Amino acid sequence: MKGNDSSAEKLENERHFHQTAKQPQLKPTPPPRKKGKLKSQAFREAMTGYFFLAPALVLLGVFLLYPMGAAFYYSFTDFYILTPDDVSFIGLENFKYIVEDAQFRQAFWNTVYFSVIVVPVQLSVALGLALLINKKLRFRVFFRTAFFSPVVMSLVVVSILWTFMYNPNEGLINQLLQTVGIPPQPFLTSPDQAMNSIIVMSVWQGAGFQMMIFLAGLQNIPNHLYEAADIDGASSWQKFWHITLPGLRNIALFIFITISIAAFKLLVQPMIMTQGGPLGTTKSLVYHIYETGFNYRDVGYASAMAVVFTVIVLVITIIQRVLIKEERG
Amino acid sequence: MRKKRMINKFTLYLSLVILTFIFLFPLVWMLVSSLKNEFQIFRDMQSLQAFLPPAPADVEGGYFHNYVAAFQRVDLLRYIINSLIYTIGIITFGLIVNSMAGYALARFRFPLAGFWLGVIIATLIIPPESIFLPLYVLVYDLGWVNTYTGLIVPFIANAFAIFLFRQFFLDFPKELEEAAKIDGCSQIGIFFRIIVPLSKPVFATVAIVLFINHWNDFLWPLVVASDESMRTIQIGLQYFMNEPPIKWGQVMAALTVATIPMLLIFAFLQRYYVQGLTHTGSKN
Amino acid sequence: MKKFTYVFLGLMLLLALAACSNGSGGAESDGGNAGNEESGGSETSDTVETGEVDTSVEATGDEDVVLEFWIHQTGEDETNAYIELIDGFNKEHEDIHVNAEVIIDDGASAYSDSINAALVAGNLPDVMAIDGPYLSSFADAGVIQPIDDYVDQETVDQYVDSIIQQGTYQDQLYSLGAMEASVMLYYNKDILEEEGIEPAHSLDEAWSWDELLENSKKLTTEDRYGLNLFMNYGVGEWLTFMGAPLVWSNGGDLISEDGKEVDGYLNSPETLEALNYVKELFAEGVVTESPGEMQFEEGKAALALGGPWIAVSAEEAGINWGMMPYPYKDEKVSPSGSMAYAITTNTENPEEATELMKWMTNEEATIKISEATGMPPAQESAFESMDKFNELPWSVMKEQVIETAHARPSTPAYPVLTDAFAQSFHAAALGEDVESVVEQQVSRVERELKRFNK
Repeated sequence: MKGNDSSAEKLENERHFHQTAKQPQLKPTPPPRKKGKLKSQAFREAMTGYFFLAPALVLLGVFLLYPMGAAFYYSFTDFYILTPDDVSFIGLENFKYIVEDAQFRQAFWNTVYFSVIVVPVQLSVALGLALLINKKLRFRVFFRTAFFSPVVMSLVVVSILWTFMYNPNEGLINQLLQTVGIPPQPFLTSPDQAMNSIIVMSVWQGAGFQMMIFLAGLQNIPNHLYEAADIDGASSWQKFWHITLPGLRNIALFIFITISIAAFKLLVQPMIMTQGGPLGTTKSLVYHIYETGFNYRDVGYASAMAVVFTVIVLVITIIQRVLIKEERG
Repeated sequence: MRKKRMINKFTLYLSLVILTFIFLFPLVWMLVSSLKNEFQIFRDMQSLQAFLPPAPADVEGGYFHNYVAAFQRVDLLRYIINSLIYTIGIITFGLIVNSMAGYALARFRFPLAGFWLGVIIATLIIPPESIFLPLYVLVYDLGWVNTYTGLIVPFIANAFAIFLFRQFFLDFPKELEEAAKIDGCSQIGIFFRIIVPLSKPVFATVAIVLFINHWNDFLWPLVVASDESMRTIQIGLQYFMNEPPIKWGQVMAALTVATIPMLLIFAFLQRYYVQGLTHTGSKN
Repeated sequence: MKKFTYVFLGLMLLLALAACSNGSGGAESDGGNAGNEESGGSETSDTVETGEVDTSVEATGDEDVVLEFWIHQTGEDETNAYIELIDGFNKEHEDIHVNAEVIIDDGASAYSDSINAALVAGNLPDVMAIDGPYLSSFADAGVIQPIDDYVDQETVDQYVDSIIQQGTYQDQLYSLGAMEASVMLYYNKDILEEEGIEPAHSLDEAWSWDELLENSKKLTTEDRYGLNLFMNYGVGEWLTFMGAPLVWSNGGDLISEDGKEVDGYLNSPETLEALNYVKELFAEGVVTESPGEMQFEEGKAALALGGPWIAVSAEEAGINWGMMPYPYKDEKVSPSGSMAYAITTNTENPEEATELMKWMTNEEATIKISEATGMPPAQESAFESMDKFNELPWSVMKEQVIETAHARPSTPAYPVLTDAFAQSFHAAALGEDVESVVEQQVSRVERELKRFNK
């Protein structure tokens, strides 16, 4: 693997480093604090810490937190794009309308449906692929690259491509189905199938990314555990259940939370493939927010929905964390 | 027993081949179709010919006629260069800024460290689309509309990247730093001369993640780089979709052109990427 | 906002600092010398300042008027025609200089997203291209200004009525356009001949709704649809552009004349009847909600209700095609409206800006654009001087544009209204209960209208 590294010293360092990496540490070990050490030592460390952190903090503050604050302010106003100089404070009006807005409700449930299916399916597909590949195989790198290639192809490109493939009359998939005698399916044009079609494509596009992370996790499970199990005569199912799964726990949780957040932010696929249709069945929350703000110019209401959206995702993330912590005991 | 193992092996490879087909066929189809004319694309869809390149003799106007046409129609090369400047700019500055932040959060004790980590992770939740308007106004007031600065600077700091770096540096052996400190290196010196060179995997991982994210950006480059000379490839792609009837051969060629840089980057960094994930993915 | 520049500069300083110690390599161990770092940092920030900020400031000559001009970009021939016209204008007018910015129009919202962002930042150009029906909302918000003072009646009379109708909001003229658009009922001559169906050759012979339905049924076979409505364009402006005349022809409307009342219009019996007619077309199976890109050009649909660009692609595909007028119920009306130009309230030179607008839409220009795009011209005289419009099949289009063209509704709530109608149209196509869908859309538009009816 490291044949190309020039200096032998470096190689030695890395090897050393790899070994340490095998014992996961959850928190940074604080430097031992001795009583009576000079205050200036802690002060200097804090200064250095902030020195390293400052560029990122400043950038995040200016280009993320400040606009967020602005959006939060807009959510209490009737900000309309065409009249940016005539903005008045309207209290909770926008938030009240969220409750009445049938489109918001539909978009909310669409997003929930998408997430509830995509998250477990994508997680399992990614894990399955990782397990399949994590063996001594010929062409292993080839298979791994193949499964990862949709990630590299990018969501925009993939969405354009699949729109074409899903086309009922001249799309690739229906043409292939027809050769085996299955009638053409209205993948993206039927309200019953559109979201599912988007789900299939999303899993296909994204699973490779998580597969890579799982693969990494699998390689971190110490081999001697399996060897010991072999000596005890454990079946491969038992090994999977008692060694592999627990070993992947943390990774799976990490992936679970990141996929959940990403799934809730669904936008590109419906925007390119269905424009939220048919009958609004693929309109996601973020798409609804985007459309309200940019197409209908109602920045006030869009911002209010963005605030609610952020709170929803925050709550879900916190619930996930709490559940995970509880389970850990 | 041996027979059974053979059968197992056979099923394993068979399923791998089927899976490979499922994951690769759109890519292959895209590449192959970019060489065909409209008629061939639609005709071939009824058979496996859809995944085979056309015979050179069957292609009028040169094997790469769709590419030639696509590049003539719009300044794709310019768009790709813009996209590269945009993404590489974000990656270069992003690697410096975010690795420093990740290092700070992994190594130093300072007031509010936990708070900042929480804030940074929380920002992952926000859909960027919802802040683009205020962000645009800000960038306009800075005089950065239609400049690379306006495209790049707002996205240098990246919460996910900071998080990945932090996870990686948590595991970094302290002994090396201690040794360097004794040798009289400053903190900055230690970071850039000792830690960075030994952290290629995580830098590669973050570079790939940033590249994948920003190569695909649409809305931000659209509004900030409204001038044609600043246009990025993802917006350029829309050009091929906006005028009916759509010429699919050219669309396929344009999509291929948009994909190639990503493939190249991944091919070059793949080795480090896998290593990097091995170190960052293992912790919560 | 200058503050932010400083913040950024400070940041660059930090980066420069870090980069310094990185660049020094292994040569020397620099122990954080504060003085050194600062000077190094400010040098870097200086170059950043001049490099980035200055370029965005326009260098304006003293006596010359400089006009910023945004045009939308769709086809390359069209864009080239605009560029040539602008070059011509610059040559002709020594004291005016036009800077054109070509902004992508992806047929969805890309172009209007760019306008929106610029608008909020106060960064709009002097003149910009806008889509006809969106004019009311820009005019209502005071983003664009009336041009009555700079355009005389003689000039106005040169344009076809629908262009002036589209450019007028509350009795004031705001915009002029170089091109019209229309929707024709295209037909495949060979197929109609085969089935023994006689097409219409003039406005007088136009098909009624019943004829369209009956003939479409006859023309539908196992591997061919009778009609194509280009539902593959998606649920968007196309459905309003193509579909609204059905409502008008039936005596209905999408919104009240003054653009302030939607209840009783979008959900009127006339509107519902028109939508139910659409529903019937789909239910009878003569048209599909997911046609292939080239359904008509490939002979897989016998009729097609499409824009002028279908003539271009049908010609390219080499089929034997013709065009008929838009089908009617009671009154004969047809779709109209396209991109047009307007002058923003940002401009300090409305007179010169109007001059540019007239230049971009005069007879010569409208012929040039028409030739580049295949769209009908916006001036009546242009129809006369272009030979193709005086013989079949294009004479039908000319007749239709001059006689029956009907602009889309004039209301500041248009962006929501058009989506409401498009959604209803699409729901009808999918066989949904039209009435309940329309009611839901009405309440949506009503909420939007409140903003303007204060």
